[in-house]
Amino acid sequence: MRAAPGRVVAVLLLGSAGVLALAGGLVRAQVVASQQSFPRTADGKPDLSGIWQTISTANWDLEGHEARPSPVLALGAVGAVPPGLGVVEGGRIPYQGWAAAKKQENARNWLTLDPEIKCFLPGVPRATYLPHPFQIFQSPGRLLIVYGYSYARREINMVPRGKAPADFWMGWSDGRWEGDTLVIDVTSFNDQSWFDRAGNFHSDQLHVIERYTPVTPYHLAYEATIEDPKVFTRSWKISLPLYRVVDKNAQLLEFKCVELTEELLYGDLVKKPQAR
Amino acid sequence: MIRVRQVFLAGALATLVVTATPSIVVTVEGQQPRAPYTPARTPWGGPDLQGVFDFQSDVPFQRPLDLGNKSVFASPEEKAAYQKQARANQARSAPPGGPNVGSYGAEWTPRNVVPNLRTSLLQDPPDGRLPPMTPEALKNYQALTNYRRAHLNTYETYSDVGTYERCLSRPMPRVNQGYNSGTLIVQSPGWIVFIYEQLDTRIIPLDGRPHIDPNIRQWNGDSRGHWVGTTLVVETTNLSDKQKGFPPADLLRGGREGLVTTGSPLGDDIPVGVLYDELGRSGYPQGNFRLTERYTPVDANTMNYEATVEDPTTWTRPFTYLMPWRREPAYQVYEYACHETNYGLRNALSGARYQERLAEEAARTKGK
Repeated sequence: MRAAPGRVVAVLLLGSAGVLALAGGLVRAQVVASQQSFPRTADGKPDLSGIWQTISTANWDLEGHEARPSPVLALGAVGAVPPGLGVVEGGRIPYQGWAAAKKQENARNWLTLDPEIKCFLPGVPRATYLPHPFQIFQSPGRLLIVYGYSYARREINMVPRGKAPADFWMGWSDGRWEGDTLVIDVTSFNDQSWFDRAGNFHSDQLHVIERYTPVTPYHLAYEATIEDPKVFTRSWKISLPLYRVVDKNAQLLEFKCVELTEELLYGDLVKKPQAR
Repeated sequence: MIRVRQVFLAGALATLVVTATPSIVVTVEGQQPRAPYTPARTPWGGPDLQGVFDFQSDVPFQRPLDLGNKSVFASPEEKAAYQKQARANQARSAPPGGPNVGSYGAEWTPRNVVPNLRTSLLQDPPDGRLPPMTPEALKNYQALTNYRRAHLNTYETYSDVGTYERCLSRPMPRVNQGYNSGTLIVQSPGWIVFIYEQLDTRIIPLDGRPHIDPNIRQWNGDSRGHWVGTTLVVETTNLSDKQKGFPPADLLRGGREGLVTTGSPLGDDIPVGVLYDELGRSGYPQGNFRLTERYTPVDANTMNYEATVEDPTTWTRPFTYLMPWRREPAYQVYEYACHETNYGLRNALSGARYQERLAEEAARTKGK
């Protein structure tokens, strides 16, 4: 896109080329203009520093889904699942046969099995589209992401650190720039995290390639390519926009959900359990 | 340390002071004067503190009473001799403890102690001892201590357990800790973030914005930072009163006081693990708590960390401690997934309930 401005301007000036061409030129011109005004670091890379959040329903279900009733009767409409168009390219996650059955089993046992309900680390890419903001800190040779959910955090290796010494909930992240796109190659996951509240899951062979591309100063295009030969028949991709949080004095507040889950996780073992 | 702060005044004035007076910078070793250190700067301006630091210490929080006015050891040899004698005294005075059920292996506790010849972390009051508590705070503190003594090892509920064992939080402000004390600092324009390997993350804006609503209380409070010369000054309010430390170590360890000790305003019979309480976070209101931290790079590898606690509800005067941090370029801060496999807490609660059932059965059998 960066080579294009001259031609786009030319199209605009030669508006006589036709209404359609003019309309197309305008859209392209807007994209180019806003990309140019995306903040940049001293070395010319996009500066992704800031607070970001999705407004998609990806965390409810990566695939297209209609509204569903709350699994907790008392919560009524508050606990109901909102509908969503889905963020999986092609619509469906290509599970192997056994894995499709396990996904259904997960979905049926959502309340007892979903790691999010227990305040466990969310894994990747789920951390990105949880309904909590996250903050990127970028400086020369460093990139750090802190998620509002339980202050999960990822240090992105912008300088190679070699092979991961262990498996992690949040994986081992190697980052690089491809033009204006931040590409993060994430490996060395354990098999414990889920992709969403609908029971979509993976094994310890998960490999995620994330791409963060500035579109306007206020939003990024986010893509994650997901490979896992133990669970899927082929690689697949999700894409969704991430929006810059522009609220006045925005900051991440503590959501230390461990203390919010203790009665759920240990209440059966305390001397005087709380009323449930 | 007041002299250090005078040297690091902002901007041109700082240069004036430094050039006009003999520079006195107290270093990590204690009293060796050195030329003032100018840290690298970030591309967007301001000192660059980024990287991994560690702050392990073998210096007690309060100065042992037998050291009187001695604030610094003359040499590492003198310090080593004192520590050896102190260990011998403790071994003699230790009452017989319970059976030894073993502990963490040595691989858990490779010490990475930052050299420090001071005799206490506390620098103010000048005697290295905590100031008296207010009568109200002392009453609460004693009630809490009595509660802990009564509930030690009964594990009635998770909230009787230290916040560290619950995978919730470490002390705020940080003091010396046994292991995994590496801390990653990252900066971006207008922000500085502290990633403590264990449990806590502090994201600090540097843009002068106001504090958040006083109704919002957080484990690590709400921090605002600014630069004074090369010193990062961080002011913290909005701290929660939910912090709970370990039970008093005299109960855990049969009276033996480790060399790493926080000291106690009640005397040295409750030596370790009550710092949370001493700082006013033991379940009573602390709306007056204000923390001021100063991070001052003193050479390429060392940063002085000074924390001043002001809490007139709890303490009759403010106090300040100094704990040097040392750069550890080879230290990788890893994911700390503590809660996810916290079988220890579940097993302790389960074991306590099992013991209660055994006791009930025994009582029934006896009654027959």
